[in-house]
Amino acid sequence: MATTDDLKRIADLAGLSATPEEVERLAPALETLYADLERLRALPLADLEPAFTPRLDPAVP
Amino acid sequence: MNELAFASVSELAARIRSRDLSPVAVVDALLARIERCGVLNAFITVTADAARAQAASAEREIAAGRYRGPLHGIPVSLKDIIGTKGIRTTRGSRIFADHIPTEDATVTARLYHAGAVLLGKNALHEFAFGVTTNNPHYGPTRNPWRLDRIPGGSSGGSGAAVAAGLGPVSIGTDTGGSIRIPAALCGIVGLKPTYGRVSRHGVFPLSWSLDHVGPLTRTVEDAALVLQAIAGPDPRDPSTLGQTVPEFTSRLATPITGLRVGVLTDEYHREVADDVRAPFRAALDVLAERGLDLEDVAFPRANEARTAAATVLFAEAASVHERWLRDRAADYGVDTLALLQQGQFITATQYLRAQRVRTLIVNEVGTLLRRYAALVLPAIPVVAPAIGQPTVTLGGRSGETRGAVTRLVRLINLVGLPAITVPCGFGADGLPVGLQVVGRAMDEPTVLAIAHAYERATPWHTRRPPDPPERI
Repeated sequence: MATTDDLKRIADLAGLSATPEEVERLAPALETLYADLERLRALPLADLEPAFTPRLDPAVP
Repeated sequence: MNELAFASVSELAARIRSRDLSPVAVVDALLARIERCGVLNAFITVTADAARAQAASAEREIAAGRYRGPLHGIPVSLKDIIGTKGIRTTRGSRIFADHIPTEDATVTARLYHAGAVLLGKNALHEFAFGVTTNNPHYGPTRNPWRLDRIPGGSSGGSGAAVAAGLGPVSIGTDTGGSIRIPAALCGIVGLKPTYGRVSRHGVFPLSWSLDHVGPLTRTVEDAALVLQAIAGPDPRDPSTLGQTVPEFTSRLATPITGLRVGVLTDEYHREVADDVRAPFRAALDVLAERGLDLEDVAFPRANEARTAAATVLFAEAASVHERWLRDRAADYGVDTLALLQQGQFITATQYLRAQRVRTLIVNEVGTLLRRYAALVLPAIPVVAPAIGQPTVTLGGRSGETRGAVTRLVRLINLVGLPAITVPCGFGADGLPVGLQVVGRAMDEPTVLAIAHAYERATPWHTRRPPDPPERI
C-alpha cells in the first residue's frame, strides 16, 4: 500500500507541485488504484508488449 | 413544430431533396425550439446566424440541382470539444472559454462537405472527463425526461439535445462511455465506432488511445447515415489509415437470423439494477425472436480490464493537461482537477503494465469474437441519477456514481471495438434504459444490423420526453 510519504516522494521525483494537503486528499483513491494495479502483476504478461492502441493482433489463433 | 423537431435525418432528407421542405424552415424551427428548451442547458454556443446562412446556401445548391446526399441541409450539433474554425470551442472549460480554433476538426469538415448545417456546440462535462455534465463553468445540463436528473456524460449536451428534439444529430466523443452513457440515459441511439474508424484530428484529446468520435441520433438508420459521412482514412490521424469504409446504410437490413451472439452474464456484468435488468431481459427475448442464437458468455478478466482502462485514461489525461495543471490549476473544477491529479501519480511502469494488460485482453476478446458475431449487454446498470448525487447503490453496495455509470461501457474502449446503444424500455421514474451491442473490430455493419432489427421490432425509439420541459 502507498503511504502519503510514498506519494510525496513520487510528487518530488515527478516535479509535481502537489501540496501536502492535496496529497492527503488524493491518497485514498490512489491507494485503491495502486492496489488494483498490483493485482495486474499476476497476469501472464511475460511475452506481451504494450498495446498503445487497441489493434487486434492478427497472429492470435 | 414537433413534426420537424422529432423527424429523423432520413425523413428530413427525403423532403429536402424533393424540395418539399426548406432547410431554412427546419433550422428556424429548431433554433426556436432550442431557445424554448433553454432550461436543458444543452448548448454552450448556438450559431444561429451561421446556421441560417448555411441552410440558405444548401437550399440554393439543391435548387440548382447540386444535391450532395442525405446530410445536405440537415442540422447537426457538435460536442464543444470538437474544433470549429472561427467558432468558440470551450472544451467545457474556463481555461478555453474564449478559444476560437483556426481550423475545423476533420469530423467537422466532413459534415460540412456532406452539406450539414451547424446549429451550435453542445455542453459537456469539463474537458470530457466525467459522466454527469454538471459543469462548474457552464452550469448543469438536464435530462429531458426528468429535469432533476443528469443526462449522462461527458457528451451530455449532445444527448439532451437529440432526445429533446433540438436537432436530429449530435457528434460526441467516447473515452470511457461518453457517447453511450448520455444516449442510454436520454433514450436515444449512440454509436461508438471502432477505434480508428473516425478521425480524432481537431478533437481536443482526453486520452489519445481511448478516444473515439461518433454520432448520437434518434434512430439506428440515422447513426449509419452520419457514420457514412464521417468515417474513413485521414492522414492527420494515423490510427484511421488502412481501412476501407463499407456501405453502412445499405447493409442495415442484412438478415441477422442465425447469428451467434454472446450475452455477457459473468459476475462483473451481472451487477445491474433490477429496473434495468428487466427491460434488458425483455430485449433478449426480442432478439431471440428475431432469430439470434444467444449464448451466455464471460468478458475475459473484466475487473482487470477496468483497472487497465482507468490507468490508461488517468495517465494520458494527466499528460494532456500537464501544462495547465502547472499553470492554471485554479481554473479547473474540483472533480476534474482531482482526477487529473490522480493521473499525475501513475508511474511509467504502472502505465506500461496497464497497456500490456490491454494487449492481453484485446487478444482474448478477439479470440472470443471469433465464435460470436457480437456481444450484448445493458448499456448502463442504473437509470439516470439525480444531479449532484455522489453515489448510487448497485449490487447492494453504495459506490461512486462515476464508477457505476461507466461500469459496462468503459471496458469496450480499452479493446476499441464498435458499440451501439439503443433504447430498450424504461426503469424507475420513467427513465430510459439502453441495450448495448458490441461487435468485431471494423464490423459496424453487423452491430448496426442487430440494433436496427431490434429497433424495428420495438416502440421505444418513438417515445418522447415531456414537451416542453417544465420550467424549474
